[in-house]
Amino acid sequence: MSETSRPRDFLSSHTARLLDRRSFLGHATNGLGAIALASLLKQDELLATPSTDSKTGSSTGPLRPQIDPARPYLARAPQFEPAARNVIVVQCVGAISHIDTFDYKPELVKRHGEPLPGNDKLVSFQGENGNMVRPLWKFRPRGKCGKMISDLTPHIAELADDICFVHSLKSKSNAHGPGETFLTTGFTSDGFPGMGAWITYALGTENQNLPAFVAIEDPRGVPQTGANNWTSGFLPAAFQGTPFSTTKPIRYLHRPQGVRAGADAKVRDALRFLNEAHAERFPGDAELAGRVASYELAARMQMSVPEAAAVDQEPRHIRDLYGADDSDRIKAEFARNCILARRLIERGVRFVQLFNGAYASGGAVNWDAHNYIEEQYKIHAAVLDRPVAALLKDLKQRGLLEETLVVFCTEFGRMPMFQKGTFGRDHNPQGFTCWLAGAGVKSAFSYGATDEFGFQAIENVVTVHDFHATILHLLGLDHERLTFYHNGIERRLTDVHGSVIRDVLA
Amino acid sequence: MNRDRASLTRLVCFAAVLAGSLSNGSLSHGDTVPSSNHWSLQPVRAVTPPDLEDPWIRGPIDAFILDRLRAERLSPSPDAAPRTLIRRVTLDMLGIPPTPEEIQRFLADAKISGTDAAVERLVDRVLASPRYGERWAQHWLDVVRFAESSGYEINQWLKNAWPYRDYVIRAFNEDRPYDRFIFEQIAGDQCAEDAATGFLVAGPYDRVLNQAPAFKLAQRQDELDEIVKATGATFLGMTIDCARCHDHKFDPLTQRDYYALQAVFAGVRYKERRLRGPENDRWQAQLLALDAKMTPLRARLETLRTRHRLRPSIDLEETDEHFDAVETSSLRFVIEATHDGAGAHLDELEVWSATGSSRDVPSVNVALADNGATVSSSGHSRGGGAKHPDYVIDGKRKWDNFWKAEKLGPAWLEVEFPRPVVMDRVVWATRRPSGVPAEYRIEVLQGDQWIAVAHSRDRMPHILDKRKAADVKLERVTPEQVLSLTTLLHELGELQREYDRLEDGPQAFLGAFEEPPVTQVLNRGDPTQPIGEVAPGIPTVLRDSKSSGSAESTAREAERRVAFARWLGNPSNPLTARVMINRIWQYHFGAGLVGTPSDFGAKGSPPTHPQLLDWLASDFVRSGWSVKHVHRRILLSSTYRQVSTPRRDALQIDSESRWLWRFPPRRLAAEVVRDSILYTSGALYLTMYGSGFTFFKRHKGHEKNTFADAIPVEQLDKATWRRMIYGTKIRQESVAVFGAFDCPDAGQLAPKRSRSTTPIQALGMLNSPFVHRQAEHFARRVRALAGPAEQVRFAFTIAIGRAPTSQELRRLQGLSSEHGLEHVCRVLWNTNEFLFMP
Repeated sequence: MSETSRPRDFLSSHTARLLDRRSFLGHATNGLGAIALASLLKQDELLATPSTDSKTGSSTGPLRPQIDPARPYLARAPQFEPAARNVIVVQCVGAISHIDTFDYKPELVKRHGEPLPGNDKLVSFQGENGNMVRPLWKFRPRGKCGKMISDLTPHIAELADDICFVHSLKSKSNAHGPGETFLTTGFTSDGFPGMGAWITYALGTENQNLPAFVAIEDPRGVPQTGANNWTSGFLPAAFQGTPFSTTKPIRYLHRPQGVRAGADAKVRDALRFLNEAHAERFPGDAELAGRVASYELAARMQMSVPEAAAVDQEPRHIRDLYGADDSDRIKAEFARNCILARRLIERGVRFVQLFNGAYASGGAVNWDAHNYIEEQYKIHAAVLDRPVAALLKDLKQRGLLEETLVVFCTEFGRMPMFQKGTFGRDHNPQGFTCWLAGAGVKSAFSYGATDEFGFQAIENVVTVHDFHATILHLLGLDHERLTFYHNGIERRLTDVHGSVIRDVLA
Repeated sequence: MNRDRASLTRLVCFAAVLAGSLSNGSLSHGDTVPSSNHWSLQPVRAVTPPDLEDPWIRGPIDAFILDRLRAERLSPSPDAAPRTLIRRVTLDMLGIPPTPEEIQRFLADAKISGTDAAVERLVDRVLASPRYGERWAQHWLDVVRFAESSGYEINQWLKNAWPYRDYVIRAFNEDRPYDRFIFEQIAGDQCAEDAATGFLVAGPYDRVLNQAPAFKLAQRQDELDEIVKATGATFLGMTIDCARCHDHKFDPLTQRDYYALQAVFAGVRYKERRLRGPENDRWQAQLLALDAKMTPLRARLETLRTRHRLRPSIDLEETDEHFDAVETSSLRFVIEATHDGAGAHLDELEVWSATGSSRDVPSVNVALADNGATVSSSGHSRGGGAKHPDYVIDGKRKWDNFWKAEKLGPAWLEVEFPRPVVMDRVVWATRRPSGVPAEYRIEVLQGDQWIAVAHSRDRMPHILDKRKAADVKLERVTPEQVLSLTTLLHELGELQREYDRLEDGPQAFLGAFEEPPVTQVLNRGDPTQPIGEVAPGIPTVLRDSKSSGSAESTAREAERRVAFARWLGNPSNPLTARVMINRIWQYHFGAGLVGTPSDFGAKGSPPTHPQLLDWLASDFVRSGWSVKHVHRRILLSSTYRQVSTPRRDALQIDSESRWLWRFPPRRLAAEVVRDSILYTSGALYLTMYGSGFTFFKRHKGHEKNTFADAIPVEQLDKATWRRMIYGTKIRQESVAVFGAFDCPDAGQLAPKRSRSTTPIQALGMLNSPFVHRQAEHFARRVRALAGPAEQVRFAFTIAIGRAPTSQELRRLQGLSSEHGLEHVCRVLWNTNEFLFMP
């Protein structure tokens, strides 16, 4: 799609009362009629009450995106000039071990087989722990920067010069359910909007013919807390992510078998006719107009989605780069999902959440290796590594990395010890690694550190709230001011915490 | 028991509880009492309606509304036409549209007796319809975020949670007085309304077994927080959960208040409980007969046991094996087979030293790790944490720490002692009824020989033993004798299982109650930082001399809830009636008088019509807390009966219709859309109550009953064509087609639904197999009713409630003759006129 103009400031900093869909009508339509209104709005124009001091960012009032009910996905301007315009989140389900991937700890290698000093009786999520066990894959210097990364993910490792590692994350929960929900929503309990919902609520999207927020499920199944990851929570349902992958098309995108195209077109015509006749009796009702518009948008999506999902249209060298034709079904399908992620971002989708790993399984289909980490990680890394590296390279070669933020994350880390009596590592919320790449972040950079064994974050500790605040900041959003009133509180993605990690910004 | 008697008993119990003084709970601590001038905390005022003369006014509500409209320089709209009114009232109250026959009858009645009289009869009719409870219960279930799965990672199916849903439907249909409705939900176990306490455990909770101590405590705190949060928001419109970690930032609620309220519920567990009532009575009545049937079988079995000289069967809690004293340095427990073929497991293995003739030397458990023993095994399972053999010699019989064999089939455990010991007794425990050792030997090492000192072949098999007779080996007992023994055993086992089931009674997920531990205020909400005890009690700001609503810190579990529930329903409580009135108003008009229905605090919005709110609240209490009384007031008002047509002049002043210069139109809720499709197609089954139908299918091979990775299914099976409130509500998951219509995911309280318009909704309504299948039904129904020339008109009238205009008719007839009547049906359901409350 064509480059749209940079959205201008629009977010009000002083709206005193709840500005929901209805009160928006109060401000913007004043009875002029929403159909007329809609025609006044261009895709890149913004419904704004002027922001007094958005440049200084000193205001503390809530930012309330003003949403046209007829076109909830209209692109809206961020609060300040953003470094990134869209986001791909690669989410490793089940907690990928930082110990065995990106967090190099020579001391752990040296003291392999000893108890963890000061914590030899540690009881963690599944119970007692045994002695420390060195990483199961060898670490080597990578790229020009010489970053030490293990052999588990050699393709990603090659791209060390493009990546900004954050080694000092901490989570609030040591269990997958609350942990995964916390990673995506900033809360450990169910029912809060996820990152993608917040971001599309704030910014809308650039392409009105595709969903604003797509959740791409792993070919092996849904993540551990399923729709918690892409729910709109208490935000309007319009901002709920649309689950859709190369193996799982959008539901009801096409007419069922047996219905002819002609019948479908006539159905739409008749529907439009009846709705127009009805609207004449309710001049100025924006909600009615919004429904009519939603059917038109649905019709356009029927054309645009298959085009965007046509991964097979990619040339051979691109398919090979990702491994899209691998003989292993899972590897090929995850690779195709990675291509899909790029194609969606390329077409202006705001937020893509790409899952690697599925629902709890004793580590068989995700990164939750309590028992047999070596055997299981070999399988999982072979699925993850090449396509994700290819995605990063491909975005870069197309210039898309200049406006796209890639977030590689997982709900928590794993212990430097093996569990008592197993060949795997237990959950570790005290220290783990995620990484960022692309628009607005430093490259060949590492931030924060765990202790000498990778047990606890000790240097420049980063909370999940800080991580979220940073992602919002890169998109031009102040995490303290992007709020939505729900049951007594102006809710935020970052709860009442978080600060932007300035040191990782480019 | 017949129904009248049942409800009488309930009433008597309730009265007794109200009259009784269960706790003299005077305030025991000397907090500084926060005060507030905030409007919602002031007593409900005695208000008289404005004294206005205007023919538009039908009742007190209208006087308040008109007064305000005039102040805003607005005027009300005229009455909607009777045809519109019956559609509005029926969709609003019953959640399905009126039938053409109902419309005709109503119009005829209006013509003969006048519209006002006809509307009164219409209102009586809808309030008496069982469909009313099915619609309005949904609102309440939203408010308390009721669902039938646990949420979080496991998202366990709570198979027996539905009785609470049925209770709410019944309570609305029977117009249960609201103070009683509250009491029952908090303390229904105390007044023979068991199903009502489903409220307490209606929220999400984390079922994952977390061994890390601090996280385990946090899990429990989260469970209690859900109860405190829901109670504060639902009944009081207070966001007391904001005071979990610190005093409330905006409202006069202290952190101590939060924990005082938590103490009220500190004994509530997220568990199933016996659901008393006729079903339970039926079950209990069968026990005697069943026992009588079992007695002779038991006697026969005992006779056989002595005849075959068998020791009594093992005891799952603790089995003793005595033998002649023997000295050894190693002992092993060899398991050849388990009672059900599952992998063998043991909780604990104790080996006791012989004392000989000397009584001075105490017997010690020499198999304790602390006494230097070590253990090894044929291998241990690693699922969900290692089931390591160390756990059998750790001296702890903990439910979640046990040894489980790595593989099915034979397995062994070996204990080595630091020095040879003389022993004469082994005690072993296996508390889980799975993988119980059935064919086993206990052996000691003598030189290089293993010698059995005890075994299962002289033991009576356990009543849970599921092995075939051919697999059961007993000493001195012929295969024929074994067969008759196991046949008898299986017969008795089956009866015993049935007896246990009946004795437990029907179970429902309604919360279980335990005597609570002392409640502590937690520094920053951190369960590892207790900073002082607190007694159960109500928020300080709401206490007055008459109602303490609190109990002593030593109060028994049920007393705490009873005292609190009584206080909630006290007419002097400034919030209870106001909050409920506002909810009822919101569901009628689309927005409440207070825009934030579960937050009447400083961050909530102030009432648009404070006088009206207070008048309605007093009127509600005076009526005996009758919800149907409030409905009648509203439905019979001119305010409700206005047309919904927009007026340019009024829109200029008030585009949101907050001052109610018209009836605000709005899109129907998901449930109403689905039910209306099924109802008009003729496929809706009006079966009430009972366990729900499913919207999802579960993945093969995953944990039983988890909806964690559920897949929405097409609703093509007749069993699913019931009203949507009877669909099993799964947390987190969005149901096919209709989930997109702003169905809450039951994670957080949903006192108000968002109302979105999205292309995903349009796709589901146009393309889903469900809608297509129902369109075929609808077409078939219409074809049976009318000749070809009339079919489109019939379909239109059934769906939309009026005859089509000639243009509409022409258009749709074209579609019908070219592509079929089904497509006309599909169009009708997609029209704004069908999907909006008129």
